[in-house]
Amino acid sequence: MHGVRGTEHRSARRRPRARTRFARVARHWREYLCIAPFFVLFAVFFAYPIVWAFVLSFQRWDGVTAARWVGFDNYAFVLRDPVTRQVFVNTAIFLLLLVPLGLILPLAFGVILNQPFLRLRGVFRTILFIPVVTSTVVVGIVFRLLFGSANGWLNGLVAQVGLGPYPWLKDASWARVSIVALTTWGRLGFATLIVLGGLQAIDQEIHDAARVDGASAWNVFWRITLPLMRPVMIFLLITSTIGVMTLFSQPYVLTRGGPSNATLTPLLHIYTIGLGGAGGGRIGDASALSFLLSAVMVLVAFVQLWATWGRSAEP
Amino acid sequence: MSGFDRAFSRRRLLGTGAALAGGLTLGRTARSTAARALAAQEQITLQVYIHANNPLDSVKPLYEAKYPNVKLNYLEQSDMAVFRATLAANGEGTPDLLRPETNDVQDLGKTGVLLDVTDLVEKHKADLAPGKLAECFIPATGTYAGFPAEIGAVGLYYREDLWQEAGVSVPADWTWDDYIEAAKTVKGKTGAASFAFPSSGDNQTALLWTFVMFQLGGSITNADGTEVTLDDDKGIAAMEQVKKIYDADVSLDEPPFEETYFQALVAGQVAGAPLPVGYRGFALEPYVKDEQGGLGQWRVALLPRPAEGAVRVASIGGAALVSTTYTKYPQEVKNFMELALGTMEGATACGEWGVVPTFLPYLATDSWRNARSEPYGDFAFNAVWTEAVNQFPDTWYKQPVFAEALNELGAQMMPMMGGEVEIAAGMRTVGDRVRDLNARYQP
Repeated sequence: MHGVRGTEHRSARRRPRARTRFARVARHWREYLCIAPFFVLFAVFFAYPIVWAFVLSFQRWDGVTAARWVGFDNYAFVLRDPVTRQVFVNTAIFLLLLVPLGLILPLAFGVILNQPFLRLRGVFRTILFIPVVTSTVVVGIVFRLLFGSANGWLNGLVAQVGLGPYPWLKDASWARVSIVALTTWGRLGFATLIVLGGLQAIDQEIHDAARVDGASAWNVFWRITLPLMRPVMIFLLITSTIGVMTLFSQPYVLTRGGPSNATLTPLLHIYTIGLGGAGGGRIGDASALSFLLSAVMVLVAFVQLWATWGRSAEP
Repeated sequence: MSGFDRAFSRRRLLGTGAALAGGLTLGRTARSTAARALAAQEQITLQVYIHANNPLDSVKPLYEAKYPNVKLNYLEQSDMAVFRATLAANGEGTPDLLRPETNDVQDLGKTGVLLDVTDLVEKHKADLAPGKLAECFIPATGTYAGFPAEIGAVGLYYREDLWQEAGVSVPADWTWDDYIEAAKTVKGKTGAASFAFPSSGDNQTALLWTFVMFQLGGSITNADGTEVTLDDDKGIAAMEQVKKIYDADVSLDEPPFEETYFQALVAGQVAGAPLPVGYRGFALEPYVKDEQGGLGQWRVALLPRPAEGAVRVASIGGAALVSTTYTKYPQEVKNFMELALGTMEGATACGEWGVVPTFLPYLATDSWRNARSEPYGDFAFNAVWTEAVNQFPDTWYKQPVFAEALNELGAQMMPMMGGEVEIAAGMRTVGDRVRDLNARYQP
C-alpha cells in the first residue's frame, strides 16, 4: 500500500511538472515558431533520409520495385567485397597524403599572407580563393588535359627539361598524386583563409612581448603562434580528415576511380553502385556501405579529438 | 378557371417541359462537343529527358509541326541517377520520354515501370533491324519496353593518307592479326596509332574486348541475365586477341571519348581505330578541320575478323526510346516514338545527324547511301554501315549487370595485358566476381 501510495505521489508530482513544461512551451509559442523552419527542414531533409537510408541498408531495393528485407546481407556483402577493402585502403593513402598537406600548406600560406610587409595581400588571397569557387567539372576537364599522357600539358612541360612522359592518370601511384594535386589546389584557399583568421585573432602584444624578451622569429612562431593556433589546426585536422573520407568530385572528374580502382573512394563507390555509373540499382548495398563509412568517420574523429584535446588542455 | 390555371394548362405545361428538356439536352450536347474540341486542342508538353546535341534534335520540329497541340521540352539532361530518383519518388517529376542505354531498358523493363510499347513495335517490326529489336525485348515479361533507336554499330575508322604513306591497304576481308601487322607498319612509317586502348583500368579499357567478344558471338550474360558468360571460351579468346593488340604496341593510350583522344586525333597521331558509327557525327566532323587531322582522308570499313565465321561488326550499345507508366500522355509518347524511329522522315532526320537508324527502309534510300561528310572527302561511308547492320547479330545481351561487369573487367585487365595474370585464370576471377554482383541484380 505504501508503495502504491508512493507511486501515486511520484506521478502526481510529475504531472504538474509536465504541465509546467508544456505551459512554458505554449507561453513561448512565437519564439518556437520562429525556429521551427530549421527543425522542420532538418527533419525532412536530414533526419528522415538518414533514418530511411538506415532502413534501406537492411533491404534489397532497386529504387523501383518493392523493397525486400534481407537482414544483414547487405552489410555482409559489402564487408566481404574486395572493392570495399580497396576503397578503404585508398582512403587511408589519401589521408596520409592529403591531411598533412592540408595543414602544412595553409599554415605556410597563412603565415606568408599575414606578414605586415606583404603588398597586394588582397590579390594573393583572391588568387588562392579562386579554386574554391571554380566549377569542379570545368577544373576536371582542365586537369585531364593537364595530366594527359600523350599530349598532356604537364608532360609537354617536363619534356622541355628532358623528363617524362609520366602516366599521370594511368598508373596507380601517379593517379593518386594527380588526385592529391587537384584536391590540395581546390581546398588550399579556404583552409588558408581559416588559418589567416586564426593568425589575425592572436593578440599582437603577445608577439611584441616575446620579441622584447629576445625571442627569435622562429621561436615566436614555434612557441607562441603555433600553440595559440592549436584550436584552428584541430578544426582543420578534423574537417580535412572528413573531407578526405568523403572525397568524390575529384576522382569522379579526373579518373572515375581508376586505374584499376586505385583512386576509387567510398563516396564514389557508393554513388556508382547505388545510383549511377555502373547501372545503379544496388541501393541497399550502397546504404550499408554508407553506414559503415559513417561509423569509421565517427571513430576516426573521436580518436583525433581524444588525441588532440588532451594535449590542448595541457597548461 | 383562374388566370393561373389558364396560363399553365396541362398541354402548355407539357410543352414547356419538353422545350426545357430539349434545350437542356442540346445545351449539354453542345457543351460536351465544345469540351471535347477544347480537350483536343489542349496544349500538352512532353518532358523529354535527353542530353544536348542528339539525333532527336532534328525530329522535334517535325513532331511539333505534325502535332501542333504538343510541345516537346528537351531537358538536356540524361543522368540515369536523377531519373531513378524520380522513380523512387513514385513518379514525381518523371519525364514522359527518355533515351536510356539498353542495359537500363532491361533493368527497368523487368520492374514493369516502363510503358509497354509492344503494340507499336509489332506494328513496325518488319521495318526494324532485328539485332536492335532484341535489345528492347524483355524476356521475363515477353514485352517490348522501348522502341529501338539507333544502332551502335562499330566499324574500323582509318586514314587513307597515312596508310598509303605506310604502303598498306585495306583488303576486302582480313583478320585482327592481319590488321595488327599492318598497324605495326603504319606506326613504323608514320608514328600514328591504329587503336585507342587506354590503360586506365576502367570500363574504357574493356571496350576493345567487348568489340571482339561481340564479333565472336559471346556476351556478358545469357539472354535473361540469369547466367554470367563473360569468362567462357569466347570471352577468353576475345581477351587473348586484345592482348595481342596490346603487345603489338600500336595503340594510343587514351580513352576514345575524351578530350585527350581528340587532341591526339587533330595532331595527326591517330591512323585508325575501331570505333562506333557516332564518331562521324560527334567526333570527326567537329575536330577534323585540316590536313594534319586528316581532312578528306578518313575512311570506314567493316572490322577485321577475330576468327573464321565471326561477324565484321561490333556493338557499343546504342539507346532506345522509352516512357514510363507514370506518363499522362501514352498516346502522344507513342506518336513521338513512331515518328522519330518508325517513319522515313524521322529516320532521315536521325540519319542525317550521323547515327544509323533502326528503320531499314531508310538504309535503302539514296539520301542515306549518298551522304557525304568533309572528313571523308568523297567517300560514301554509309554503304559500310548498311552492311554492318545486315551483319548485326541479336546475341549481345545487355542485362543490368553489364555496366558493372565492364568496370570490373576493366579494373582487372591490365595485369592480364602485362602477363602478371594468366588470361584464363584472370577471366575466371572476373567471372566469379561478376557472378557475385549479378546475384544482387536478380529479383
